[in-house]
Amino acid sequence: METRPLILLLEDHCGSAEAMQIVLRDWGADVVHGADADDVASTAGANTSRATIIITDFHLTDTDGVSAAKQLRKRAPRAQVLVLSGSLNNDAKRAAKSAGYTFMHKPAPPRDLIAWLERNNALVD
Amino acid sequence: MDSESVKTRFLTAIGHDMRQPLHALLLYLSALERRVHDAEARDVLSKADRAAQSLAGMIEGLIQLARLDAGKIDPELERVSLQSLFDDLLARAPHASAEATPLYVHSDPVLLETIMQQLISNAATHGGGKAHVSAIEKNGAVQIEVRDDGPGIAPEDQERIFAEFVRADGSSGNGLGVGLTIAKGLAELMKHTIEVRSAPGKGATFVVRAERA
Repeated sequence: METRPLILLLEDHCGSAEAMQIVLRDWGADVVHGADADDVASTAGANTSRATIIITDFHLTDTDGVSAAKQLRKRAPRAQVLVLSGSLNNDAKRAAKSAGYTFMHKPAPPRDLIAWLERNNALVD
Repeated sequence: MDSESVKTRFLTAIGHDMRQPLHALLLYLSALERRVHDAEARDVLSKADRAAQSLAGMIEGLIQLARLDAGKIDPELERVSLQSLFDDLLARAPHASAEATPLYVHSDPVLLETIMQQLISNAATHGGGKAHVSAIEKNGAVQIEVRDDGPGIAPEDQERIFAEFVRADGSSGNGLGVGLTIAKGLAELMKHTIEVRSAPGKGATFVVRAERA
């Protein structure tokens, strides 16, 4: 039986989180959403390790998305990471690049988002 | 507070606050497009999507301009591989092509990528749609070039196009006319230079000169 890819989504802006989940599920993924790494890992439970993609906003309430993604990758080592930010400075982009993660500005064109998902899904396959 | 500071704070505030809902809007439109099968409705949706993307591009431009005006950008120079830069650019710009290069420059990778994105975007909007990127070493410096096959730029307009809110073709179409202003401002921050070589009917080549690393 074919398994849908599992995406862990960290986003604390309600509108962006809801819209993103619709797009990701339409693309064919299962999505676990939370406002931080603990929240997501707790909801995903044992499934966390099968996640192949982590998408995170950079400015989370209590931490930054790159640190949160690093924390989650300890339990989901295969996951590729995409960092999104609407930040006015380049801190988010620098932090993402330095960790080897992909970065996109908010608002990210959905087309770019899907293209990135397709590329990473092909790598996992 | 002087009028420049007011402008900068205003642009920064609206830019930042508009990003989240605009991000959500683009995603909702994309989701809706998958669910609508009526041709006429899809056409309307496609226009709404283009309008939203155009707005997103303008907001991004305003934010970058505001940050430049406010002197809030501090370059962090390092050794930058142009091949890696070109690979990243092409991944997001299907209308662009690039020549392989072994060259490295002394630059800020984030800001240099922004400059190149602006030049490639300018080629897409005003330069006939396609952009070709290459790099050569000349007189100890590296010249990164973005070439297009568009209508070209008249000599009297070649300085003017780097000013804020200016389009050489005088159009009121896509964008605000700030992309080249941003590219030039960022280049100057890093002690790079940027210029255009062009003639009417012969396309345009934008050249960024940076120190070789």
